[in-house]
Parts: sequence; structure tokens; C-alpha cells
Amino acid sequence: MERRTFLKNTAAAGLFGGMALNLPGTAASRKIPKSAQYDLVAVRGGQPAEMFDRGIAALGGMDHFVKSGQTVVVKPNIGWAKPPEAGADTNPELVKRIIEHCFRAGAKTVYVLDHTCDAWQDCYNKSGIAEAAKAAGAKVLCGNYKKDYRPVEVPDGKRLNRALVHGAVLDCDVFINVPVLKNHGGAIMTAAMKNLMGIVWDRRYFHRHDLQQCIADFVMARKPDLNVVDAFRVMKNGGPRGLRLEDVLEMSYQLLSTDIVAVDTAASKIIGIPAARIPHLRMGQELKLGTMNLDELSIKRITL
Amino acid sequence: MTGYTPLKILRIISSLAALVILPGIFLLPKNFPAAAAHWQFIPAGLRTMAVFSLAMLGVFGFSVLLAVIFGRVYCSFFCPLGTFQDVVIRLTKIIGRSRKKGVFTPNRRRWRYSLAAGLLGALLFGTALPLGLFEPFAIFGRFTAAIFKPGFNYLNNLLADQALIAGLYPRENSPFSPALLVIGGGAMLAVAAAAARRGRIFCNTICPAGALLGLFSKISRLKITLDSNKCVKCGQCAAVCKANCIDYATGRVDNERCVVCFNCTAVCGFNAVRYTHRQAAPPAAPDFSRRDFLMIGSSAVAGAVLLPGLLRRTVPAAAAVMPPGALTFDRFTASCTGCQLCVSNCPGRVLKPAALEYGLGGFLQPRLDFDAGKCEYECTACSRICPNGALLPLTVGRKQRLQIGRAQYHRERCVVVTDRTHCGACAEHCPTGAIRMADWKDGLTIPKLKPELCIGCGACEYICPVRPDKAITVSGLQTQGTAQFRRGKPAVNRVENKDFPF
Repeated sequence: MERRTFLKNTAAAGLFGGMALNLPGTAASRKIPKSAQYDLVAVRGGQPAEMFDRGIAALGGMDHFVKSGQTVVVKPNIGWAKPPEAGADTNPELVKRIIEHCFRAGAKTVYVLDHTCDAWQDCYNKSGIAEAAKAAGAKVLCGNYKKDYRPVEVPDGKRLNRALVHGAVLDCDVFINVPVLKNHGGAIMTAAMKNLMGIVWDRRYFHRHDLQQCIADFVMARKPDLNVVDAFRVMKNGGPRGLRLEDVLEMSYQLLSTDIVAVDTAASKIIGIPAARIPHLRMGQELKLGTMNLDELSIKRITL
Repeated sequence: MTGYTPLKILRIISSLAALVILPGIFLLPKNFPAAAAHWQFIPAGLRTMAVFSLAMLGVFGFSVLLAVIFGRVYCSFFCPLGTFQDVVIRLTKIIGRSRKKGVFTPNRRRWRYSLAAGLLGALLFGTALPLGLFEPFAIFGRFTAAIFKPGFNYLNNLLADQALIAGLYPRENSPFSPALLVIGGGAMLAVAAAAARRGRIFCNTICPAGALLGLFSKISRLKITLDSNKCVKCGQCAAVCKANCIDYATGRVDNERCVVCFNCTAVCGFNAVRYTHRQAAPPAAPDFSRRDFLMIGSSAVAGAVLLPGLLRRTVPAAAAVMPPGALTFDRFTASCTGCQLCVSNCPGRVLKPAALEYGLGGFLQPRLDFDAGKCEYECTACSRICPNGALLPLTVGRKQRLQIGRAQYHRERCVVVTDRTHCGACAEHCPTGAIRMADWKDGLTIPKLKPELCIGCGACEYICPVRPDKAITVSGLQTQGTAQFRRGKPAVNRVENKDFPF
């Protein structure tokens, strides 16, 4: 299969290379809606779904991001075959509520996917995300099939200039990034920026060619239209896979922003890792993907 | 003219069920019922030897009892390779190339029992490979895995890619193995060719299950007999006999070779061929001669003495990683016939048939290939599906502690050291905490390995981005051990509710 897929893809890439490539203009010219009032909304003290209700309202409602008839991709972290309590994957209730908001705003189709680390069916089932997403009416896609990926150029990337990205993400109108906040042995912290590796086929390339810089570079391939960081349960140790439930704290936070660097900087304060220790934040700021300086942002803080 | 009697219809239904269910265990997702494989004759026997329990003895005893009462019904009702041959025989008939019919062939008893004795001799002295090469379920398994599975997956993927069936996902083929293709595909062609020309000749010259069951069917309570008072010697029964075991001229049926397919009883218009416990005093079949015994006995001794010595330990077995549940290399290789059932059911696609990684005696036995995948932490599929007891069934808890290999970290190749960049892929995928990222210089973190926590699942080796030689590799163990638990500091609070830190 690997060989067959490879041959086919190589042939396809050769034949339709020009067509399949996402030219830089396309990604860059995509309008990322900016909330009228706030750059960052932080919610605390409730359940994931109700925190999202309040958070998205403060950003002007889902209507602000999703227009009628649009196709949406919601990209949670479903990397591991673990139950929701383990905090290794995004909270399924949050995913469900986001999808419901998308449909209420008039979305035509909502897709949910991740390129998982463990066997994908196990991840989708055990995390509870497949069930929750289907219940809300979304289509759950497999992210572990190479044929679904297409090459994208990242001309301004410092270490990463080309990556295979899941076609559903390339084709969608609205891309909502829904990471779970965890510590990470290699990337130091995983939140919004690191979560994007779940729409990439060859992640070993990132690890081989300066993981931190590749994480930052890749944001330019497809910048999410909205980032929702699930910090309801936060894995403070042993991440990203997690070893013991004791390493997971129920902190009940949620962060929403279109600024991927800002939302991750705020997340680093929640998990308690100095932002300076996380190089991809600084690299993201250098690439003008967002700001690490929270003081210059208008932040809405909501306590339930 | 072939007619149908209730017994023949029963046989056809049962064999068709076997033809659907048994390939299904190889082709379909892991939740497909595997019990049918566990009731196969040779696998049940091997499992009884490997895990001696009353339940297993019951399963095997049931097969024997079945043969003692009904003759070799296994061969016609349940054996997938038998059914495969029947399909070939039927197709030969449909395309009009009729096989050599109506000939009573001599019972090549000395040859077949010598072969079976040699294989069993080798088995009793610690290597199941020779038996596995000739045993029908393993032959069937190998060609199903080598030929039908890739074909099945290709069709599935075609349908999935065209989105013709909603919810159908592409499947990965089993990793390509030239050895499996040659041995599995070759055996399939050979058995099919033999069946097309000579009917069930495989079952009565090569098959060790056929040889063993023949000993019971010779004395079985019910058997096919010719009533010489009614027989008009038309030869119809002999013409439809797939085993060429009816000598209608003398009125004798060689029940040792009869696979009780009921073709003969269905075709006889004179009620002369019957399946009955009444023996109409047939001419006595010639028994084993002294020379037969000598030959069979020496073959058993030769198998026991020569084969294990020849096949085992030709290279150090520690090089390759055995699947979880093998426990020791000796007991693993003493029971594994290389049927590829575990390989076909591995969701991590990490299992591959070995070429010579275990040495000659481990040929086609499953090994873990960490270029292809990792042993999934939550998965016990191979250990539960093994029909031979070569892998013992594991609980998830046991599997998660069972050390099947041991990781070695090659610091000089690690990207953190050579490129001074972050990585941590190995630690990220390590399910036991055997590899953690420890603080190093310049804000970097570097893998730190605690071998006593490692279970050898290969997640680290699989994901390591360094090429050509990976910076972390896992090697096998001769004896699978038990890993320790990671001792960590439990966090004091489970719930932490502070105000915004920004």
C-alpha cells in the first residue's frame, strides 16, 4: 500500500503539480476575520461547552467567522487513544459545542479530523471525539491516509518550504484550530501552533529539520481563522502522550483568539512554562504571525 | 449425474461457511470472530500442546471424537484448504477440463505417514516450522495473506477512493514480503494444479492432518461402504470420488483416504453406496507392513533428531523482536506454523513475516518491523488471535508491562546533538515513560532512557526522524520480561482554580 500510494501520489504530483500546489497568494489573501472588540478572550471556571458559549459571544458570535453555506474544518487534537480524563486529546464536549455553533451560523458541512499518532480508529473512539462530532452533525474524516494530502509551498519558511497538507483543510472556507494545552517533551509546550502538525503528512521532516522553526514556518501554510485552546484539563507533565492521571490538572480555562502566537503565549502562562523557553513562539512573532506581548492586546477576561 | 442428498447439502453449506468465515478472519477488521481458526485441527492440536488445559483438550478431543464417529468430516466440512480444492475441482468441471476420474489409486501409505511422522518428530522436539509448511490451515493462511489480502485491499481502496460506499476507509496492505509471496503463492498454485488433475491428492499424500485423521476414520463408527449385493458396478461413485478411494471392482472403499464429501452416496442410483455403521463385510484393507513401520519410525526419528538441530539457532534470535505473548523464543518457534493470521490482524501493521531474521527455523514467523509501524500500546490483537498458542493471550494490563525488546539510544546520531535543535519524537511516542526529555544545554531537551521501563514497543524507533541509521533502535529478547512501572511524583492537587495569570 505504502509503495502503491507513493507511486500514485508521485505520478499525481508530477502531472497536476501546478494545479495541486497551493500558491502563496491563495493562503495569504484569505481574509482572516478580526473580532470587532477583542484580540483575545479568556474564560475560566466552567465546563468546556459553556465556556465556549461565553467566549465566542465575546468575539462577536460564530456568525463573525462562519457564513451561511460555508465549509468548516474543526481540528482538535485526537493524537492519542486515551479517554477524555487523560487530557491527551481535546475535550469532546468542546468539539461538539463548536460544531453546533458552526451549524447555527449556517455552515454547510463541518469536518473533523486529525493525523493521529496511535491507530486512528482507536484515537477517534477512545477520545470520545468521533461520537461527539457525529452527534453534532459533523463528518469525521480519517487523517491517516496519504492520498488525502496535497503539497503546499511555504515560500517564506526558514526551514520548511513545502509540506503535504490534508486536502479538507486546504479546501475549507473556515479553519478552526482546537488544541488541548499540554507540556511537550520536544516542543516544550503544545497548544495552537503545535496542533497544526496534525494536518501534516510527514511530521518526521519537522523533527529532522529544527522542530521549533518548522512549527512556526508551517503556520504560514494555512493560518487558522480561529484558535480555541482547551485548557480545561491541562497535562503539566509527561506530555504530549501522558503517563499518569496525576499529571493532569483540572484548571478550567479556555482561550479564544485569531492571533495564534498570542493565544499560545497566554496558554504558556496558564501551564506555567516561561514563554521564553518555547522557541516557536518567538519564531512565530519574528515571522509576524502574531505577538507575544499580551500587554498590547485587548483581552476580555470572563469568569463563570 | 450428481444428485444432492441432505448430507451432501449439509457438507456444501458447512464448507461454504468455512470459505467465507476463515478468509474473513484474515481480511476483515480485527473484531471479526476468530474462533473458527481456533477450532482448526492442527492449530487446536498445537494449542493443546502449548497451553495444556482442559478446555483446549476438549477442543482437540472433540475433533478426534468427530473423526472417530463420522470419519474425516473435518476435511470436507471445515478445512479451508479442502474447500479451496473443492472449488478448484468444481471449476475444472465447469470449464470442462475433467480430471482423471474413476481410477482407484493405491494408498501411498508409507510415504504419507513417513512425512507426517517426520513433521511430528520435529514438532515434538521443538520446531513447528516443518509441520507448518505442510499443514493445511497454515498453507491457506499464507496464500490468503500473500495473494488475497492485497487483492481485497486493492478493491476496497478502489471503492473507498471513488467514495462509492460511504464510510469505507482505505486499508493498508500487509507489508510486502517476497518470501511470503513465493512460498504462499507457490503452495497455492501447486495445490490448485494437483486438485485440478487429481482431486484431493494433496489431502492423501502430503497433508499431515489428513494422515492423522485417516487413522481415526479407518476405524470410525460411520463410514462409506459399498453393498456388493446391490452394486451393479457402473462406476459412477468412483467417477465422482475426489479422493480416488473407491475400488468398485472389488467393492472396497479406502476409508482412510475418504474425506466424506457424500458425492458417492448422492450419485448412486441403486442405494449401494451408503454412509452407515453396518459394515457389509468389505474385503479387508491391507494393513501396515513391518517395512512400513520401519520407514515411518525412522522418519520420525530423523525428523526429531535432524530438523530441530538444522533449523534452530542458525543466527542469534535476539536480533528480531517477537510479538508480545511469545514469552520465549523456544516456545514460540515450537508452536508457530507461520500461518500469518497475526500478521494479517495487526492494526499497527508492525508485524511482518520474517525472512531469515530468526534464522532458518523462524522462516515466515512474525517479527516486529519498526520501519513499518509500532506495537500499539492498547492492542493485544496478535496474542488473542494466534490459533496455535505460539502467542499466549494477554490482557491489556499484562501487555503494557511485557518487555518484548529493549531500546538503545545512539546519542551521537540524535538530531538534538548533531543539529542542536529540538526534537523529542521518541519521548513523545513512548507510552511507558522509559524515554523522557531532560533539560540540556541552550534550552534544548535531550532523550533520557530508562531501560528498565522500556517494553520494546518500538514507537521510538518508528518515529525517530534520523536517517539512514536511527538514533534509537529496539532489539529483541530471547525471553520476554516484565518492565517496571515509572515512579513519578503525583501532583498534589487534581483541581487548580486560580485567577487569570495574565
